[in-house]
Order: sequence, then structure tokens, then C-alpha cells
Amino acid sequence: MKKPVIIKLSRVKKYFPLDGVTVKALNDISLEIHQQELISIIGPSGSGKSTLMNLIGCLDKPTKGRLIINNKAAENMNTDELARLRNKDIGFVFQSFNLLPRLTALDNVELPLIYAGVDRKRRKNIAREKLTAVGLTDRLHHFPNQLSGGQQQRVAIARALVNNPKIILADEPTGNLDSKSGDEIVKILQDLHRKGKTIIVVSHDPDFAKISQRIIKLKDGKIIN
Amino acid sequence: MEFSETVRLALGSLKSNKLRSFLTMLGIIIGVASVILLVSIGSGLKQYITQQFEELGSNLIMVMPGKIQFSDEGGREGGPPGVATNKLTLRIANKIQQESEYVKTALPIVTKSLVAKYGNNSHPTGIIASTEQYTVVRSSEVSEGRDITKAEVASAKRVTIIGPTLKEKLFADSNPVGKKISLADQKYTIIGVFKEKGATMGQDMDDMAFISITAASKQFNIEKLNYIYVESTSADDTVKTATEVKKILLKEMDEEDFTIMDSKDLLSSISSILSVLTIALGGIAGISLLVGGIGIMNIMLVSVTERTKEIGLRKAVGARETDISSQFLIEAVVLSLAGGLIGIILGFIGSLILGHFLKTAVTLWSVLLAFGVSAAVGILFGFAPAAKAAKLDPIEALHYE
Repeated sequence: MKKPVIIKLSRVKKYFPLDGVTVKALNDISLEIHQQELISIIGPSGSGKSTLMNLIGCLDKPTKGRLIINNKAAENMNTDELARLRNKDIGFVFQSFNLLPRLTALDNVELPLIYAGVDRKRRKNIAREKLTAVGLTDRLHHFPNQLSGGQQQRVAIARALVNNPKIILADEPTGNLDSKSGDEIVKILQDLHRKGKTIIVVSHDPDFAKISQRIIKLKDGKIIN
Repeated sequence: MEFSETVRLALGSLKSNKLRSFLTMLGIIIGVASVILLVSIGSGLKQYITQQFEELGSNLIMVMPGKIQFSDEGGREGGPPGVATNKLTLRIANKIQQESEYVKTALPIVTKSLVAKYGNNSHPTGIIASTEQYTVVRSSEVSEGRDITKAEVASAKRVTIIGPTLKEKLFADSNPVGKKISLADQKYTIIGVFKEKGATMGQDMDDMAFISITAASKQFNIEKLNYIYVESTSADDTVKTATEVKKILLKEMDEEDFTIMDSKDLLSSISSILSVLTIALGGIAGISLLVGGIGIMNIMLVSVTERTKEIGLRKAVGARETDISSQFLIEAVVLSLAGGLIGIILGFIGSLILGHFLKTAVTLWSVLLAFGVSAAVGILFGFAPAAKAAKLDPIEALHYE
């Protein structure tokens, strides 16, 4: 039996003006993603992968069409509502980790909780718990530049998890890592998938292709499979 | 996001860039310190002059011979006071004393420049001649010897009380009481020495010899008074007193050949001039506060650009526009308030040091104003960078290198 739909795009279009010409980054895309799916999105550069990820991540709004994230219509939301949705329902993992260099691992993981309005003591506890879950118990007070790439990405994953979002978006999460660290990240994401998260990965890493239930191929702003 | 959290965040990022934070604050520090310092000089000057006036007595009215017109069109009329048209006499002074209920004392004053001699020492000085009321009205104290008595004034006795400067010139350290000095060849016995008064309005008040007004008229043939000090019963009644004195004088003279000056009037016009001066000084210093504020804005704008990626990330994990803008706004306000506090302390210390050379007074209003202005500067000049940060597009910001 299929799980309920958590992400739904119907006839979504995203246009950008560029030097007076309209670029059709996404051209009429319809897509349903169910809870606890693990999906890979692939396609050549300029195919609209990033635009699709930005829309699902509520960092951007579609030019046309409907976008429903966790039963909420995101296409009509204002910036504050979108911020709240990103905070509560979505966790981001980036290729370049995007940790704040002046904050410790613990402080970095706390960030989404600060914007969720969780009090200090509870924040510390949750952040510590999530860092322990990714195996970084002894690195709580290290700064990003004192950590290896794999460790930094694990901090980023812990940060994505602190608000218990249902959806994890990972954009080339192993792109900046050696294969051993990459394998660890793949394993952690696979583990999260087993525990019930919906995971969407943009990656050409064959390891992800292996564990994905579905692969979506994009070309020229359209889904081609 | 809670306010305390935002403040913590702002403090954290300021601490991680200490030198830059300090240099940014420097503009505000200098601005606030100079506002406080310059205003303290202005206020000190005002206090000094007010105090000098109060020493003269705030319930004093001065009656001078001749008509001095302070009107717009006329300028000064009727020639210099006290020359040809002097109609002030001892008799008039007594009339003022007797006929008005508001007058406590009417003190006739005669002054004359002459040379005082004792033995081989001589010194050019001046005499002030009046009644036994002089020491009371002018709040002079006799420190050695004694004051003049009513009987001595009535009998035009040849006694004098000398000022400490004259004493020093003629007697150095020896006791002058009981000695005879000659004032323009008239012999007087010294009965006392005034306590030191210092200078008022640049004039040495201690270089003088006091004799009775009767002696002055008898021995120097002086009939005309240089002026009459009228002391009213209370400081609130000076206006009424002045009106009464004018009435009495007009009865005595056929035309208005005198000038009445009320020390309150004079004081209030001088103090309003000084207030304008103080505000002008403060305003000039205020310009440097403005420059300091622009410095803050400049650095905050640079900081927003530098931290574009951080802003993008914060937005991606759920920061609202207000969270971002308040973070930057509070950074600017913390910078300017901390600068303001340091500036207040420095301005205070500066005015204490300057206080050794001239009178200064740090006023509460200048401190509050400087503090308020530096807070306002922070908000005002923090606003543009904060708005810029808040409006950044999260996608572009995340990919900013």
C-alpha cells in the first residue's frame, strides 16, 4: 500500500527573465512524492534540477501551477509563512555544508531551533542528541574548520534534523567528499529513510541511484521518464 | 525569535570582530565625548556668570545717573552717565530709602581713583564711599579689625577699611589695623581689612579702600553719587521696586535723567545668550555624531555583504525577514550605544581634567541627549543595512561566494 502524498506539484512552471529573454527553467512539471520515499533527481546542468529543489524547498515560488508541501499550499504563501515551512517541515543538506564558521558544531545545529522559538536549555539538549545520532558526541564544541569534510556534512545533517522535519532535501551531499566519507553520508541518509523521512537527493552519485526507489530525470525543464 | 536571543547573536558577531567593532564605535565615541565636553564648557561658563551675578545680589537694582536707552532706534542718548547731568545725591538716596515699602536698603555709592600712601609705599587704587550698610548689602566681610559703625558714618570720621590687595601693596605681611594711611593726602586710620573677594567680571574687587560717604563729601567735596544700589525686600519684588524707585526719582527730577538696571533682567538676557552658545557648541559636536553614524552604516553595509552566505543559510533554516533585520539593527544599536557609553565616560573625564583650567559643568541633559542621539543614530543608520540584509534572496545568498 502506498503512503499518502507529501509533495505535490501540478503543472508547475518557473520562468526567469534573463537579458530581456524569458528562460523557462521548469516547463509544466507535475510530480507526486509520497511519504517515506527516497528519490534521486538527475539531469544535465541547466536542466532545472536546482530550480525544482528550490521550489520543493520553499526557497522560491512557482510562476504558475500548484505546489503542495505537507498538505499546505505553498504557492500562495508570503515570505514569513515560507520561512516557517522551511523551518518546520524541511531539512536542507548542501554540497558545501553551509555551516557558519564562527559557531561551534553545537551552535550550528541549534540554529533552526532558535528560529522555531525553542528555549535555550531544550535547544542544547536536542542539538546534542542529534549530533550524537550522527556520531559526533566528542565534537560538540569544535568549529567547522576543526572538522573534516565528512564530519562537517554530518553536522549539517544533524542541523537538518533538529526540528524533526518530514522532508530532507540534499543537494549533491557527497559532491565535496572523498568516497569513504561519502559512503558514510549515504548510509546516514539511507538510515533516515528507514526511520520514516522522505528524502530527495540531487546527485549523480551511483550509490544514491542504488538505494533510490525512484529516479527522476530532468531535461530542459521537463521530466523525461 | 526572542529578543534576548537576537541580542546574544548580535553581541557574538561583534565580539568575533573586535578591532573593527571598536573602530566603528570610535566615531560615536568621539562625537558623544565632544558633545558632552563642549556642552560642559558652555554650561560651566553660564554657571560661572550666573554665580557672579548672584554674588552681586539677585534682588539688587542699580540706579545710575544719566539716561541710557536700550531701545532699538535711539541707541545711547544723553551722553555718558554721571558726567554733566548727574542728579543723584545722598538726599535722593535717602528719599528712596524712606518712601518705598519695597526698598530694604538704598545704598549710595561714590567711587574715586586716587593714590594711597603708607610710609614710602604708594599704590594707585580707588576709594568706595558708602554707608555702614555697605558690607551687608555687598556681602563683604571684614576679616581683620572691625566694620565701620553708624556713628562713624554720621560724624564723617577719618576711618577706612581696606581691601586685601591694597593691604598687601602697602603693608606686605604686617598688621595694618590702627595704622594711618593717606588717601590723596587725606589721613585715614585703618580700622579693618576686607576678606578676599577675588575678581568679578575681570575687576579686582580687593584693590580698594572703603570710607564713609559723609567723609567723602566732607574731605573730597564729592556731592554726586556714582550710583545707588537699591536692595528690594525680596527677589520676587524687584520689578515692583524698580517701578517705585522710578516714580520717586521722577518726582525729584523734572526729567528722566537716570537709568535703572535690574540685575534679573540683565542676567536673563546674558543667560539666554549663553544658552544659545551652549546649544551651538553642542550642535557642532553633534555633527561629528552624525559622521560617526554614517561610519556605522558604512561598516554594517560591508558586513551585510560579507555575511551574505550566512544570511542565506539563516533564511534557509527558517529565519524570517524580521529575524534577519533585527539581528543587524541590534548590532548597529549595540555598536552606537556602547560607543555612546564610552563617549560619555570619556567626555566626563575630559571635563574633569579641563575643570582644572576653566569652569565646566557636565549637565544631565547633555548626557541624556548624547545617549539618546547615539541610540537614534544606531537605529537610523542601522536601518538601511538591516533592510538590505532582510531583502536578500535566499537562493542567491546561498550561492554567493
